[in-house]
Amino acid sequence: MGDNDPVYQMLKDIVGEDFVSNRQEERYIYSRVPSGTRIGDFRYLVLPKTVGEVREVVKLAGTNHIPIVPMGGGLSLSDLTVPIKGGIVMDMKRMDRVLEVHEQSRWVLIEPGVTIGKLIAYLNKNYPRLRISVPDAPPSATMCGNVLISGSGHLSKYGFHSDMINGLEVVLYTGEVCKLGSGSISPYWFSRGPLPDLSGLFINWCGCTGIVTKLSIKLYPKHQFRELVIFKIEEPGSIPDAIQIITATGLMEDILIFAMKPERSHNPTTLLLLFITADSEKEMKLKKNLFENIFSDYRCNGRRILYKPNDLFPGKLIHDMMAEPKNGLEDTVDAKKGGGVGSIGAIFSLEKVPLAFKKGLEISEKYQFTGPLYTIRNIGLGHSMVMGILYPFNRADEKSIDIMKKALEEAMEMVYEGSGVPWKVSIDKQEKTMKKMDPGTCDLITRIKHAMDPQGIFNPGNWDKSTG
Amino acid sequence: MRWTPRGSLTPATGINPPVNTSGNDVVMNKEDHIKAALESIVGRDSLWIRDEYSTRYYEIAPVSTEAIQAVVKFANRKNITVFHGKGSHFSQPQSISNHHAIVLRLSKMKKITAVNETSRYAIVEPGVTHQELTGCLDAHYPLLQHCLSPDSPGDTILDTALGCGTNSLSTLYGNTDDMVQGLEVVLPDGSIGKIGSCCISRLWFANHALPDLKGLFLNWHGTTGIITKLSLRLFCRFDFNDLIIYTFKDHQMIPGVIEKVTHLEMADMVTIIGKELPTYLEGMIIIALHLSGTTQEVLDLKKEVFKNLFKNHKKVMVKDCLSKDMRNAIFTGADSLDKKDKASIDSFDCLMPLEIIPAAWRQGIKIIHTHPCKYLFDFFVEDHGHRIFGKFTYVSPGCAAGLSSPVQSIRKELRAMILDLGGIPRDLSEGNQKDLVQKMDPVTAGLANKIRHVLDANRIMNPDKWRIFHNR
Repeated sequence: MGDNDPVYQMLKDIVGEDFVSNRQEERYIYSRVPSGTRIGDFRYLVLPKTVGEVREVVKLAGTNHIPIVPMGGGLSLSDLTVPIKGGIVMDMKRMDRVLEVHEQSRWVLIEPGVTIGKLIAYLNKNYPRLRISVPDAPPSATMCGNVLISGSGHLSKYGFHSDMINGLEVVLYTGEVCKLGSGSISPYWFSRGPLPDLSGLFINWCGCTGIVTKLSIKLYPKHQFRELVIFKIEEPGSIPDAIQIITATGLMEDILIFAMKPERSHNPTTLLLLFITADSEKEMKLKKNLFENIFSDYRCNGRRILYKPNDLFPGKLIHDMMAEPKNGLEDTVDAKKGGGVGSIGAIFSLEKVPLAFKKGLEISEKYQFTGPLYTIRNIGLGHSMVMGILYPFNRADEKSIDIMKKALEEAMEMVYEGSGVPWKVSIDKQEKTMKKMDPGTCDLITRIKHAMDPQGIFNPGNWDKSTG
Repeated sequence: MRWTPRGSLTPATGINPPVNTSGNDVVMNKEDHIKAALESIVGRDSLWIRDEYSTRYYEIAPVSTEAIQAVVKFANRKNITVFHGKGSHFSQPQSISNHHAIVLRLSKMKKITAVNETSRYAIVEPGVTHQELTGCLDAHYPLLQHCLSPDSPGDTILDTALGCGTNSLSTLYGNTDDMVQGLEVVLPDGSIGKIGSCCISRLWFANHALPDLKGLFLNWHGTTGIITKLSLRLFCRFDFNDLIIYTFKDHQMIPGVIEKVTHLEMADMVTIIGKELPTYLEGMIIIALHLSGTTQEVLDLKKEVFKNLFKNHKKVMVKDCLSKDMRNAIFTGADSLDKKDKASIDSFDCLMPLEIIPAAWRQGIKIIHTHPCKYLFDFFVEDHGHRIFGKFTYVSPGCAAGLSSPVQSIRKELRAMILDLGGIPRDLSEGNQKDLVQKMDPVTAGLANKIRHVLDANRIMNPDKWRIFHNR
C-alpha cells in the first residue's frame, strides 16, 4: 500500500523509512487514548527527529490539506490526541533532547518528546539542586504535553504548569519556525515579557494553532528534605478553611485532598496531604511542628481536621504519595478491572469546593462508584482548586461504558452549575463549553484559530464550535 | 510618563451641535459629527476638544464599559484613531488617521467591583490605583493585601499589570501580570471579550483550561484592546515583617548569593542594591530581603534560616538590625537626591537573566563613569530569580537640569550593552522598539503583526505602539 501512495513516499523522504507507517497495528494503537472513551482513525504515523522534519511534514500537510495531530505521550485522558478527522499523527517522542539547563536562573530548554521521567532523572543526575513541578502523570507522559494543557503538579502553589513557560519554539501552518518570549531576541529563554506575549497562542489550544518544537520551562529549588503531613477532614465544608489556613503560611510545597469511598459506606474518607520541604532537619522540624499544631483548636459544624501521624497508614501508600513521578496510578485507572477510565477535570474557586464535593458524591452514589473519588489540588495560595474526578469502567462491558458516560455527563453539568471551568476539556465537551461561553470570547477564539490555521490542518475538531 | 495636554483647548460645553440622526455625514461637518456622537455617549462634561499637530482630537472620560464599547464602535466605523492607556500621546501624529483622534481617559472608571475574600481576588476597573486598592483592603478586608507597586503607589493596577510590572511579592509569586486572573476587554471592533473563568462563570478566579487569550493583551501596549475590568490575585496579609541585609564587595558573587537566597523560597522581595551616594556605601553590594509571616513564629523561622545561610561565609556580612539612618541611606531613591542636590537624574530599566548581572554591573558602572555621573543600581529579583528587573539610575550631582546631554548618551550605551549581553530593555517606546524588533526573530515579528491585524484590521488602537512590527 505504502509504495503506491505519494504522500507516504514523501513522508518517507522526510523522516526516513523507519519512522513513517501506515500499518494497521500501529494505527490501532495510535487511534485511541488510554481512557478508551473515544476512538479515531488516521492514515499516516510519522516520528520526526528534527525541527526541519516537522517543518517539511507541516508544509506537505498544508499543500495536500491533510490534518496533523501532534502527540506527546498520548496519555491524556481527555481524547486530546485522538485523530478524529484522519490524516497524520505526529509522534514527537524522538525529539527528546534536554538542550540547555541554566542552573542559576533556573530554566531548562527541552524538545517536545522529553518525558517527565527523563527530565526528572536528568536533573537528579546533573543538577541535584533543581526540580520541576512534577505532575501526577505517569513517567512516560511528556513534559511539553502536560505544560501546554495547563497541567498541575507538586509546585502548583506557583500556578498551573502553563504559568511556568518562559518561551516556545513553534512551527506555524506555513512551515515557518517561530521563537516566542525572550528567546526571540536573546540567547537566554528566561522570560515571556516584556515583549507581546505570544506564547498563550499555543497554551490550552490542544495543538490546533501550531506544533511546539522547543519549550523553555522554569525550574525550582530542590530541597534536601521532603515530608508528608496528613490530616483527616471530617467535614468537607471545612476544606476552604483548611486551604486558607495552610496557604496563609506560604510554607507548604503542595496541598492535595484525596477522597475515596470504601464499599458499603455512605461517607468518603477524605485526607488532606500536605507536602513540606526544608534544607535542614531543624527547619523541617520547625515546619512540621507548625503544621501539626495548626488545626488544634479548629471546628467546623462541630467536626474537626485531625492530624494523623504517617505510621497510621500503610507504608506503600505513603511511598506512593511521595514518589516523583507518581506511582500507583494504574490501580486507580483499573479499579473496574477493564482498563478504562472516564475523567472530568474542573477548576473551581475555593468557596465552591464543598458544593462540588457534595454533588460529586451524589453522582458517584447514584452510579455506585466506589474507590477513589476525587483528587483536589490547591493552585496558587488558595486562588483556585483543581478537582479531578475519575470514573473507572470496563472496556469490555457496554453497560459499564454507558454508566461511565452518564456519570461524566452529570459531572460536567455539576461543573457548570458550580461556576467551575472544565479543565483539559475533551473535544465533545469543548463544543458544549463554547456554547456556554461568553459569545465575544467564543468569537475571539474562532478568529484566532482561523488566523493561526486557516486551512484547519492542526488537530482539527478542537475548539471548533461545530465538532461534537 | 503621563500624557499632558499641550495644544489649545476648546471646551465642549456651551456648544450644542445639531444631532445627526440620518447617518448622512454630509449634513454636518466631520468635527461636529464626531463631537455630537461622542457627547451623546459620554456626555458634555466628559468631553474636551483639543488641537495639536494640525490634528483635532477629542479627549473623553467614559465611566462604563458600554460607553467605551460605543466609542470604539464609532471610531472603527469612522476610522478614527483611539489612544488610551499609560503614556498615550501624540508622539507620532503621522499615525493618526483622517487627522482626528480620540483620547480615552479611564480615570473615572475607579470602581473596585468585587473582592472575593475566600478565593482571594479583587476585580477592579482600569482607573483604580494601587493606593486605592490598598485603602479598600485596609478598610474592609484587613486580612488581605495585594501586590503593591514599590515605586509608584499612584500608578493604576492596570498599567502595572499589563506592562510586566514588578511588585512587593514579585520574588515569590511573579510580576503583576502573573497575578491577573481575568480580563474584560473592549476589542478594536467594539465587541467585548471576557478572558479567563469569567467567560463561562460568574467568578473570576482563574485564567486557565480554556484557550489562553490573556497573552493577547499583555505587553501589547493597548494595541489589541481596552481593558475595562481586571481580576487580580490577593494574598494573605502578613502582619509580621522584617528585613535582613547581606553585604559584600565583589559583584561576581551576586548570582551565587541570589541563587542561595531564592533557593529557600521564603523572601517576599529580594533587592540587589549598589550605589555611590551616600559615599560610604560606595563599592558595597547590598542584598535586601523583605521577610514576612502571618505569625511571629513563622517570621522567626524565616529569619533564623536566612541568618544562618551565610553564617560561616567570610565575605558576606549579615545584618538584621539596621539604624534608621542606614535604612534611609539604602532605600532612599534618586528622587530625594534630586530635591536635595539639584542633581540631573535618569534611569534605564531592563529585564535580564541572573547570570549576566556581573557583566551588566561592571559594564554599567564603566559606562556611567565615562560621564560625570554617579550610579545607583536597584535590581529586583523576580519569580525566584528566573529573571531580574534591573534599574540603572545615573546621577549628575549638582548638575543643572538643562545639562542633560550625558543622560541620552548613557541611556543609549546601557541599552546597547544590555541587548548585547542578552537582556531586554523595558523602555519600549517607539524608537526603542525599533532596535528590539530588528533583533527579533522575523517570523515572530510577523506573527505579532498578524495577530494585531486580526484584532485591529483598521489599526485604530494606539497605532504609535508596536508599529515597528508592521514596518519591519
